[in-house]
Amino acid sequence: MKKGKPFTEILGSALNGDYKFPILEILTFLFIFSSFVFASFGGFGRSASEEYFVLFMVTSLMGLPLFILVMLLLKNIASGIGNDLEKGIVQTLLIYPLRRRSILSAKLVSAFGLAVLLFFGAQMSALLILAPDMVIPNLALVLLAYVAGVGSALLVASTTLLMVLILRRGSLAVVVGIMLFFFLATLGSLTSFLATAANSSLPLQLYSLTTPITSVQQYYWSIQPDAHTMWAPSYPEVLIYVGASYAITASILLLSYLYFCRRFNV
Amino acid sequence: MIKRWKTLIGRAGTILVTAGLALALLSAIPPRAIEYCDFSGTSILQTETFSVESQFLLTWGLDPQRGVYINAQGNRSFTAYLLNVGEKQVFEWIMGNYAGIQPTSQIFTLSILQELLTSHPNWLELQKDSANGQVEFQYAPTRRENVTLIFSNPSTESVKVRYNGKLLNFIVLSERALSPAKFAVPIGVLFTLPWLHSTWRRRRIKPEQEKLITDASRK
Repeated sequence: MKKGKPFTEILGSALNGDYKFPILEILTFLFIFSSFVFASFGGFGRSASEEYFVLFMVTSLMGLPLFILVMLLLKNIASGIGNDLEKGIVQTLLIYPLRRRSILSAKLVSAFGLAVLLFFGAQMSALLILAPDMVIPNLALVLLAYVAGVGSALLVASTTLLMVLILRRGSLAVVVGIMLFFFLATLGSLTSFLATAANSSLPLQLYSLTTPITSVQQYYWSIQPDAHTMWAPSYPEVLIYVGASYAITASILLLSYLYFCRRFNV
Repeated sequence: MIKRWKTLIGRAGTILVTAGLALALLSAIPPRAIEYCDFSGTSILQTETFSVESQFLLTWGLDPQRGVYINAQGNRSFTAYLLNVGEKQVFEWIMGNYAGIQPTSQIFTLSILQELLTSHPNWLELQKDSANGQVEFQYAPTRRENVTLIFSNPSTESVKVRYNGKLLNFIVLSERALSPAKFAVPIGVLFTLPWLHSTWRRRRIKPEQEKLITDASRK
């Protein structure tokens, strides 16, 4: 048997379970349709730089599709990993001479990889069909906005994964994951209020660690003429916040790996 | 057992078909006129002249989901142009290059337009010659931009052009969504066929026969 074969087998099985026909097709339809329907270009007669409008467009396009992505990630974690734990399928796999991290990696590539790829593919298609002359000259900004935008979704999903592994129950962890996602969304409005009330940018800075798109938005708002923002981060600071958010996500994933490889008992 | 690559290509095909159908459906959604955002005007164009139509609504700016519909009628043939810059920029170019033109003037000789389009060919977004004295089009840009509407009379007799227009809200401009859909659906169907064929065959073959085939393929 080739070295990579067990990984491929588990990945194939996970993909088959996570994206049964026609789940993938329905998701593609939803991603594309909602991307176009929710797109917005910043309203009438507003004067701002093109970058501001590009960011406005990308964040508006991400709105509902990002919510669908989070739901898809949580569903994949619940059904692909949570259910397999509940039914003892993962425990059966652990009996075979397979590396534990290969099993979890295969499951994660299926749960996260294809979902994010599908989301990004649908979004980029929509952007390139709608506004190629805005997207192509500002590709770096568009990519940064997507990396930052997906950051919070991945954070919620990786936290849910850790809970699924510890609790060994998919459904409960998913409920907590959904609540966490809505909590983060609500926190967005609350931090803006707190920042204004306290006349401090600290709430926004802390919030950017979990939702890095905030730092990107603050940066592009602050560089507009006549802009009044609570927080005006520099571009390197924005990159640090995006990196820090991904570092938090990576640490949670690492914890999940460590737990699954060392502490997870059959 | 269906080979893995067949499933992979097949599912890629179904995704392409779905994406194509989603785009086709989006292209079928008609544009909606924005309330109180319509305009009209009349221009009398002497021989070999053109007019720059000052329309306040066009200076608000268009974007990929906010376009414009124009319907113009003349008593003789004329040409309509849509430039992807604001009228302010057009007037500045004219005043800068042709001294002695009245700042309030909106009608100029045709040679100025030819000169303008020669020096800025990228400004020209759309050009429509009237058929039976009528021009009708809708337009939405691929970025945020101001537009300028121009009518020209290249003939040797004067023309009276009456036009009306309105701003439209699009989900996506129909032809822009249809073009990729036209490619995506047939390619997707082509990719899906081997997978569908294998799935159909698999359902017909009894489980025992399938086991024999699997064993044979392993050997």
